[in-house]
Amino acid sequence: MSILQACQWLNDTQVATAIRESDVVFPVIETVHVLAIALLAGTVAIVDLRLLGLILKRERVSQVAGQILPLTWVGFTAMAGSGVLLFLAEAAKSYYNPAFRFKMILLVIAGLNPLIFHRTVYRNVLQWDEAAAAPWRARLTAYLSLTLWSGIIVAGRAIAYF
Amino acid sequence: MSLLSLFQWAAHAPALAAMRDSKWGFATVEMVHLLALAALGGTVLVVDLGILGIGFRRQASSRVARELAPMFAGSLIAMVLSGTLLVGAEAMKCYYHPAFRLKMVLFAAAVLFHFTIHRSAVGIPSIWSKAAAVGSLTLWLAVGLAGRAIGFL
Repeated sequence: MSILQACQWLNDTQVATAIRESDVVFPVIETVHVLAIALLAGTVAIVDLRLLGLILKRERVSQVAGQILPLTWVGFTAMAGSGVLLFLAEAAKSYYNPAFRFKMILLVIAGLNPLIFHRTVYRNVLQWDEAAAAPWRARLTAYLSLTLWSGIIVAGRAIAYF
Repeated sequence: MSLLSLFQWAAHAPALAAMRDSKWGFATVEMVHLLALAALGGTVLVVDLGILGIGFRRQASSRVARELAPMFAGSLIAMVLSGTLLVGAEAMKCYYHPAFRLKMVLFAAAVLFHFTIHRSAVGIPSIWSKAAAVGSLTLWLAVGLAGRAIGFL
């Protein structure tokens, strides 16, 4: 089964049809999706800005990251859950949408970025925990993260315009 | 000049009409509004949830609030600027829109609350600071919901 066929199949499931055809359900899920941006991208940005030494300079990086991460995960769950439902309702349309495709690519890269970060430079966080600005590889991760998540929000909004 | 004539002026301003009529002009401002929402909402959530003992628990909430104040102010300015452009492009629709009117009232209340009650209550951990955090979260969420409703109603 090709990806297009899978999208078509998902598009025709009962759940997808119910969301698509309801006047209320789709906007409600969309609202959850939009407001959860703050919880996901907002908290990610706060950790990134700490790595860059722009905010919370006197707080340890590990404390900021460790305490904020659970909030980011809640945001991620809300975003992913609502996002999957929105996708289901428009699966066949989304397949051909360039903004949607671009957003999916950005999401994969945005997911890999912290995975690599935590397995490399963050391992030695105790050595630079109290420094105002993190080492350049961590700052690079932060710039990448800010760019990727901004791109995801922008591409997400653009989906409606194609 | 009355509010209505201000909105009527915006409805006829050539620059705002150009933004309304160009597909990507309006979309770009919307994107800026959303990016600023992430930053503003993120700071509100982190500060207020911290006061309630979720997230930032080991730091003094007043310190977190002070450290995040520039991010809050910057994103608030970005929201107001992009929001003003969005309203300008749809001036007459907004003027008579109940969700828009409600949003403006809630927004004024949220900003006022932030710089008065919230600011003074955040210093000392108490039932009052917790109440201020709940109040702030409720007001900002209501602003967001009313804003979202402008697009649906």
